[in-house]
Amino acid sequence: MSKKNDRTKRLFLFFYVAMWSVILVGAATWLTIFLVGTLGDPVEAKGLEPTDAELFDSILALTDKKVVRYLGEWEFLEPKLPGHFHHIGRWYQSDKWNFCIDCHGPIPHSRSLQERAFLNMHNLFISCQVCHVQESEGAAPEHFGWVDIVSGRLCSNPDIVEGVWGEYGAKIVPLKNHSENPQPLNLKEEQEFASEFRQRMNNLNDSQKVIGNKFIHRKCIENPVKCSDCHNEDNQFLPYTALGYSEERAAFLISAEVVDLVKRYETFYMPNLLKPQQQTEGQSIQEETP
Amino acid sequence: MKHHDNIDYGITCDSKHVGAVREPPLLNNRWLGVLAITLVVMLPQVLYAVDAENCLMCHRFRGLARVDKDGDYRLFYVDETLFNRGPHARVTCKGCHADIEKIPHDNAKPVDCLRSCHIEEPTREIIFTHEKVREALQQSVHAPILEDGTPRSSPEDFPQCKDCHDIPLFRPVSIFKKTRAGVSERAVNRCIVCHSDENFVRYFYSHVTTRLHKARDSREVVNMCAGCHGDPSFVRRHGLSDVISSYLETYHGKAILFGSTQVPDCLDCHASHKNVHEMRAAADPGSSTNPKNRSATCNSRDCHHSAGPALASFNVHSNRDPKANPLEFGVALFFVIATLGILLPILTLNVLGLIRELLPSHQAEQEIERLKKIADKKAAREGGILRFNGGLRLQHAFLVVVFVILCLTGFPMKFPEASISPFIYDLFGGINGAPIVHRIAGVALLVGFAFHIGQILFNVRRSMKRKGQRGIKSWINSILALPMIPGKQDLKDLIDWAKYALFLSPRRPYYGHFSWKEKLEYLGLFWGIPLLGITGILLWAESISTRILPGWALNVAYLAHTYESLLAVAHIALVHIPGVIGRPGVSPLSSMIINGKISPAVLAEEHAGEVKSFDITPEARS
Repeated sequence: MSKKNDRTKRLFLFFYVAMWSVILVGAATWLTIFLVGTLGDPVEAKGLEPTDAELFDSILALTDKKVVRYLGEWEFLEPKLPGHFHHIGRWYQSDKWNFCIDCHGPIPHSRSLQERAFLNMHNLFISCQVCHVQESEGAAPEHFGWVDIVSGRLCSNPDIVEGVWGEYGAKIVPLKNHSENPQPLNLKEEQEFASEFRQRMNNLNDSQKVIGNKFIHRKCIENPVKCSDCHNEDNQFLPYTALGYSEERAAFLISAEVVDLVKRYETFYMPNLLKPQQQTEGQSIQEETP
Repeated sequence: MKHHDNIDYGITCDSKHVGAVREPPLLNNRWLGVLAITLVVMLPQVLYAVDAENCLMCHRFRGLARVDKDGDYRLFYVDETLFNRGPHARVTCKGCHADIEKIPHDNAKPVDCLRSCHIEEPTREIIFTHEKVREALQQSVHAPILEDGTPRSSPEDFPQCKDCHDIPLFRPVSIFKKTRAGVSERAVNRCIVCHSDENFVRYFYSHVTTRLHKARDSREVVNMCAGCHGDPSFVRRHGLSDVISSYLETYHGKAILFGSTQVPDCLDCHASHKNVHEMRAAADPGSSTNPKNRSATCNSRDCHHSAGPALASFNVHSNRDPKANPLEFGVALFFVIATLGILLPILTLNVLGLIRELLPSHQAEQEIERLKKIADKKAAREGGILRFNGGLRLQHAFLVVVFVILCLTGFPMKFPEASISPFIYDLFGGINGAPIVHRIAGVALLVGFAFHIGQILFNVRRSMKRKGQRGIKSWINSILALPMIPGKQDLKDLIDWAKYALFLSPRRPYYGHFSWKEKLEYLGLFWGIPLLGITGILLWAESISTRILPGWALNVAYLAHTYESLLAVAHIALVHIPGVIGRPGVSPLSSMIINGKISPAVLAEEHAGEVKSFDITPEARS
């Protein structure tokens, strides 16, 4: 009994000594660094940061910065965009399930200088697969549904009401097996391959990267769906009312107002994905437009 | 802020809680109906924007964005709700983006904020413009070109409108017998009796009342100025000092971080008399911070009106740069050396002592065991060994409570940016309550300290009377003979302890009733409490202290207060607490502070000399 007590006492003493030794050494170190750091010009201390980090912050980290707007009776947090005049409130809902985002990000369109902002805007509620993927060459999808942007599971049509403007918590996807058991177009193989590809990319040589990229994009089509394929008065690629759009909203999306707008943009843009050089030359004057 | 306020102002749950999982609705249909009606009723107030060109058909989509070739993220989204909550709500898109004529838009020029594009100026029925800001800016320190036309160095660093301003938002106040934030429904209800357009009434009310107080929150103002003045490369290029860091170390800066609206931000001092756009350099005789004008600024009726003119020589932007502020550097250096010079050796000895406790010498273990038996017998005989009487325990408890309150109300102020600081401060009433609690606790500590000194002197006098002693010399001798005054034996004990902790000696020192550690800790109070008390009072009663002391004395007082408080807390936390909390034999807490009785084991370890004085029985001697 006494031996057991002695062992317990020793163990307790060991923990006591270990705990306080760590605390005291840690605290003494912190105190020394803190106190010495209070001396001198704070600008000199800031100047110790490596310049590489400053460049990195100026390019990337700033987009993660948030700023609080204090308005007395209410306040809100919004992303800090350098030089941006209008308040934006918050970022938009990001797509959590679609593996395309892992590489291309939530603002993927950059090639077509004239249309890129519009195309990115459609990313809010249309998945990449709708315009860019076909299960087999020439077999354009005919049936569409909505998937939850977090889980990626098929869901019912969201409430498409005024004021929400594209942020429905769901995205349109092409469906297969529409008549029996409708499911979102499956890119399981590509997704698994892409996941492994990303992990092992640093160890691949250039030709392996090219081959890997080709496999991931093997179901992507060269000429994706155009704006006018949906925004026209005759035959729309997307069935608006079946997807939950009201008759009024569907009519607006193919109205002269929208169709005319789309035509104006398409006049300037020729989808020359295979001739990027030609496209850049022809459109350089429009570079700063949305 | 309550959630329903958000709803009133058109802020949705999704905008505040992005990605949050929706729980089943808490409101039943009836309440949803009431809410819907409320929203419909409130809706007209946000329908100000004039969008004749239907720009929002595209620009209301949050995803309308791109990344350009330089990696700049360009967002073309306009949040209607937020846009309509500001003075620009009645301005059309083309009012500012005037060069956008067609779709697709041509390469758009940056917006010129000074153009005559706006709505009618209601007082003179002419087109409104910010043009006068240009004239004001030309006189200011922020103009890239001097009045004689000479460009300043690095003219690209000088601010454009958008560097300081994002689109303004209303910050209305309820001035209808109340001063809380928000639109006064009572006021609006009275206005619409005559002015039938409620939209206009709400807009006009918000516009005017926003200007009745700070149009922008002080935190936003400081952040705005920090965009340039907190940037080290900018500061170096223009030969400035880091005024943001120094400001945030003042009471003003810290109070602002806690959300106070009552203390001055950058603009209140640097543009106190004129338009903010006319801000001058401190060296300019026209500047409100020029040494000649500083007194008028600091001692103005709204600020320190009762303070002496010496307040103006208080260095608000003081730092510890040896070249720029040698006095402040010297004071800070003294406290840094004192703090580290006291704590580091003690902490080193304590860590070594802890390790030695784990690996005690056989001789020391036997000695402690022997002395413990003696102490055990005495404890059994007397029902415990009393170390502190009721009066001392009461004083200790009082000191603990006051010290904890001082720490909780003082340290959030020292580290206002720590995430826990606002929470702790809110427990004491936030920035409007915690400083008052701190001062009350400070006064209580001084009163308790004075009582303790009074008690000591009373006991000394009684002892002298008993011995028939008189005179100053006797007083000094009696005080020096008090048990808490260190003597030669304490120095010897310290050396013996160091030898034992360093494994140079197998013998632990025989401390008497009070060890050298306890004596040093006790005497530390006679340095710390008066120093913290005096400097605290100087800072608190600035209206009196600035009449008898120069302004720089407050800089010194601030430094002494902040460094000494850190020393005190570090000493208590790192030297005192480890000996009384969680220690084997006294776990979880020393009973001494409750019943005044010391455990025989601790007495044998820590006060062997005292136990030896019990060792008088023939049995023990053998």
